[in-house]
Amino acid sequence: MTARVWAFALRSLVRQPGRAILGILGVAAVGALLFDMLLLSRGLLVSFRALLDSAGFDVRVMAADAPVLARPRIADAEAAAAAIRALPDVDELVSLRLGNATATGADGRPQDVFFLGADAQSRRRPWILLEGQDLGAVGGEPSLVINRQLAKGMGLRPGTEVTLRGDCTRGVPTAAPPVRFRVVGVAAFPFDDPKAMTAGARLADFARTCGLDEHGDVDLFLVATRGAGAAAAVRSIRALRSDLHAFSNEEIVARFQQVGFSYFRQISTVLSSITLFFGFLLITVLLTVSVNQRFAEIAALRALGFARRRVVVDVLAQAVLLVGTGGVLSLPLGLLLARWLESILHAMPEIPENMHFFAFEPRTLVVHATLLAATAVLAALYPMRLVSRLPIAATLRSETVT
Amino acid sequence: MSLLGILYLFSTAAAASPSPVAEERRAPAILVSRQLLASEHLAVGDVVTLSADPKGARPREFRIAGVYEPVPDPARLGAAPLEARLHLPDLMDLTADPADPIASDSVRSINVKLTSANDGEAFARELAARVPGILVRDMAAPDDSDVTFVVLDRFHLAISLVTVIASSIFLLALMVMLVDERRDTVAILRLIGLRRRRIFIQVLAEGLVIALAGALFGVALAVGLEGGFNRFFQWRYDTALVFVRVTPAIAARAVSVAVPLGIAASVAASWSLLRRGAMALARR
Amino acid sequence: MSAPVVEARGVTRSFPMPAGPVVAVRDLTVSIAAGELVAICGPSGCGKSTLLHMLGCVDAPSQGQMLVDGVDVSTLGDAERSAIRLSKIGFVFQRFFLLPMLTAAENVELPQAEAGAPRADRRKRTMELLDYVGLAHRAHHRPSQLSGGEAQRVAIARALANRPRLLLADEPTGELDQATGQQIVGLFERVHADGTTVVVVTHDPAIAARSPRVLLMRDGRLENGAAG
Repeated sequence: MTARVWAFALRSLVRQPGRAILGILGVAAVGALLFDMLLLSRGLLVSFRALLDSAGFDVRVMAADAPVLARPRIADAEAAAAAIRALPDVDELVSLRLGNATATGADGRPQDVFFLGADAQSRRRPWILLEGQDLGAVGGEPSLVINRQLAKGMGLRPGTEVTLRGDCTRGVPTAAPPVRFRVVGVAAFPFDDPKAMTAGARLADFARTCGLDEHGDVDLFLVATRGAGAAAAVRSIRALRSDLHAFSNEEIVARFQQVGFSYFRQISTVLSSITLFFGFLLITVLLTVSVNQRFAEIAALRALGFARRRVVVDVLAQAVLLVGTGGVLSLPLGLLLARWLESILHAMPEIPENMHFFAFEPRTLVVHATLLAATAVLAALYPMRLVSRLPIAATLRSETVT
Repeated sequence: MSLLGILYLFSTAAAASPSPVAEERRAPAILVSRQLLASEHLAVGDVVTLSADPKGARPREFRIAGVYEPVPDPARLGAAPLEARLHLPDLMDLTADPADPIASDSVRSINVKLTSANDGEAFARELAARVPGILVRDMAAPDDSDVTFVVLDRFHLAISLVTVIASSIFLLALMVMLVDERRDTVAILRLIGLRRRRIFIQVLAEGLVIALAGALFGVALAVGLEGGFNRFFQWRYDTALVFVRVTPAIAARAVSVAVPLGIAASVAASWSLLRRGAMALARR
Repeated sequence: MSAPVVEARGVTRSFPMPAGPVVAVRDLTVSIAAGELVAICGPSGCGKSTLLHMLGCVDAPSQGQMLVDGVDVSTLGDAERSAIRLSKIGFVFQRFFLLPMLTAAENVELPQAEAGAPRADRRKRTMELLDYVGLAHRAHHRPSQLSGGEAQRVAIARALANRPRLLLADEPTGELDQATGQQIVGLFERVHADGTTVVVVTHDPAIAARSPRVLLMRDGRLENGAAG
C-alpha cells in the first residue's frame, strides 16, 4: 500500500479520535493479555529446561520412574556409577543423595535444611558456586556449601562452622550424632524455592551425618554427556542397565509439559483464543459502524473515480493501523502485566526461585504479530465486503432523499 | 484406613490359563484403579503378582476383586493414577522389612474422623502432647496444596480484572458509536423542549436495560458452556474433576460488576451530548 | 455539430422491487455533444437522476448502450469505468459530499492524487481552481467551517480537478437558497464558457431558463430533444 493510502486511512481514523483511541486501547489490552498467554504457554518449559541445563548435566538416572518421596534408591550405586562412567557417551557422573537435616549455629537455634550429598570427585557440581570455595574431592574436615538463604538466615559465611543432625530416611529419625561442618562456600542450587535453606556436602560426610553407609544406595545419578549427545547416552545407559530409569533433560521437560505444566498450557490456549476473538469483534464492530456512517461519502468517492479496490484497501488499512498501533502498545503493557502475574504465581510453594512462568523468546513476538495481523485482516473482511458491494447510484440517491 | 503408595506390578496370570478356583480363593483380594485396569489390560477376577521391591523380590499373588475410581487430585492433573488398594494386613505383609522386628506393626499414617470437625486443632494439639514424636495435622488447616489453589484463585482474579478492563473499553467504544448515531435525535428532543435531566434519565434507563440484558445473557452463556468445558477437560485428562462451576454467588458477582460498568459506560459516552447545547448538537 | 461526449442509445433502467420492477428510464436515446450546456428537468421521480448516473458511468442500464467518447462502457470493468470517471467526468452532488476531515484544498487535491499527479502540480492546480471559484482565502478551512454555497463551490472545484470533458451536476442548488443557487448556476455558465460540457439535473425552472438546451423528462422518457 502506498503512503497515500496509509495517510488517507489515518485521516479517516483521526476524524473520530474518541473511537480510534478506544479501538487502539481495546486492542492494546487484549493484545497484552494475548502476549502474556503466549509467554505463559512456553514460559515454564523454557525456564525449566534452562534450570535443568544450568549445572551442565543432561541426563538423570533413577531407580524407578516415581515421585521423589516414593522412589527407591539406586542399589549398588558405586558399581552402577562406574559402569555408566565407562560408557563412551558419558563425560561425567555425579551421585546424589537427598535428605533433610537440622542445622544449629553459634546461637544454638535449630533450622531445618534441605541436605544433599554429592560425589565431589567430578568437575561439575549440582550447584553453582557464588562465593568462597567448593567442596574438596577427598579428606579434610567435613565441609559444606550453603545457599544464600541459609547463609543469611543463620549468619553463616565461608569459614564459619555449623552443626548438622541428619534426617535422611524419610521421616525416620537417626541415632547418628550431629556433625560439625565448616562452611567453605555459598552456592546457588538451581531448584531452590525462595525460602529454601539448602546445604550440600560430600557423599561421605552426608552418610556420616545421616548414619548411613558411605558406599550405600544413592537417590540419583546426574550425568553429563559428550559425543553423540544426551539421547545416545540414554540409549546406552538403558541398554547397560535396563533396571534403571534414565531420562534426558528433553524427556523430563516433555513429561512435565504433559503433566505438571498442563494447566498453564490449557489456560494459555483458552485465553489466547478468547482475546483474539475479542480483538476481532472489537475491530469488526468499529470498522463496520464507521463504514455504515460513511456510505454516502464512499459512494461519492466512487462517483469521483475512486476504484472499488481503492476504497476496499482503505478499510483494510484502517484495520491494520488500529490493530498495529494497539499491538505495539500491547508489548510494554504485556511485559508489565507479566511481571504482576509472575509475582502472583511465584507465591506457589516449592517453585524454584529461578523458574519463570513467563519467559520471553523472540519467536513469541513473531507469533504475537502474526496473530494480530491475521485478526486485523479477518476483522476487516466484513466491512471490506460492505464497501466492495456498495451500489453507488442507489446510495447517492438514498442519501439525497433522506 | 487409606492405603498409600504405588506398588510394582509384575505379571498377570489369569489371561494365559485360568486360575484354579482354589488358587483364587487363597489369593487375597485387592481393588485396582480404573486407570490401572485399563493400562495393564486387566480384568476383575485376574490374579496378579505384586512386589514392593523394584527387582521383584518377595512377590505375592492377589486377586482383583473390583475396580474403583480414585478421588481426583487436581494437583496431579494429567498423571494417570495407577493404584491398588489392599487390606492393611496384606499391605504390611507385602512391604514390611523382614529385618525390622516392628515393621509388621508400623504404618505411615492414621486418618481419624472426629465426631465434630471443629475439634481438629484441639485434638491435634492434645494427641501430639500425649504421643511425642508423631506428627499430627488438622486436615482443615491450610497446607501447601491449599496455598497452591489460593494462588491460582488470585491468578484467575487477575486475569478477570484484565478481561473486565478490556471489555469496558469495548463497551465504551460501542456506546460512543451508539450515542453518535443518536446525536440528531437528541438535538431534536432538546430543541422541542426536553430538559437535560429527562434525557439523562433516558440514557440511564437504556444503559441499565442493555447492561442487565447483557449481563444475564453472559451468565446464561457461561452456564451453557459450563457443561461443554467440563466434559472436554474430563475427557482430555481422564478425570472426574469439575473444572468450571457457575454458582449463584459467581453469577451474582458477574452481574454486580457488569451492570454498573454498563451504566457507567452509557453515561460516560453520553456525557458530551448532555453537556452541549441544543443548537450546538443540531449544527452540522 | 461536434462529436458527442456521451450518448445513450435505447437505454432502459429498471429496479427489481418486491411488488414488481420499477422502470425509472424507458427506452431513452439522447446524445450530448461536446461544449453543450444541458439542463435535464422533470417532476420528482421522472428518472432524471437515474439518467444522470448512467451518463456518468455510476450506474449501468438494464438494456441499451451507454457510450462515452464513442466507447460502450457496458463492456468495461469496474476499474476501467472508475478510470473514466476519474479523468473524463466530474460530478457535483446536491449534498456536496465533501470529506469532513480534509480541508477545502485537500478535498480538491484528492482526485488529482488518485490520478497520480505530482504533488507540486496538484498544489498549483488546486489553488488555481479555488481561486477560479472565489475561495482561495478559504483553502485551509474544513467543510464544517464553510457555508452551503461555499461548500458547493469547493465541490465544483473538486469536480474540475482532473480537467474533465464532462461535468455532471445532480440538483446542485437543491440545498441552497435562491440567491446562492443563482451564484452556483453562474459558475456553471462560466465553466461551460471555458469549454467544459455541462449537464445539470434540476427541477428548478429558473435554472432551466438559463440553459441553451433543456431536456424534459416524464415517466422515464424524454419528451423532447434526443440529440443536441
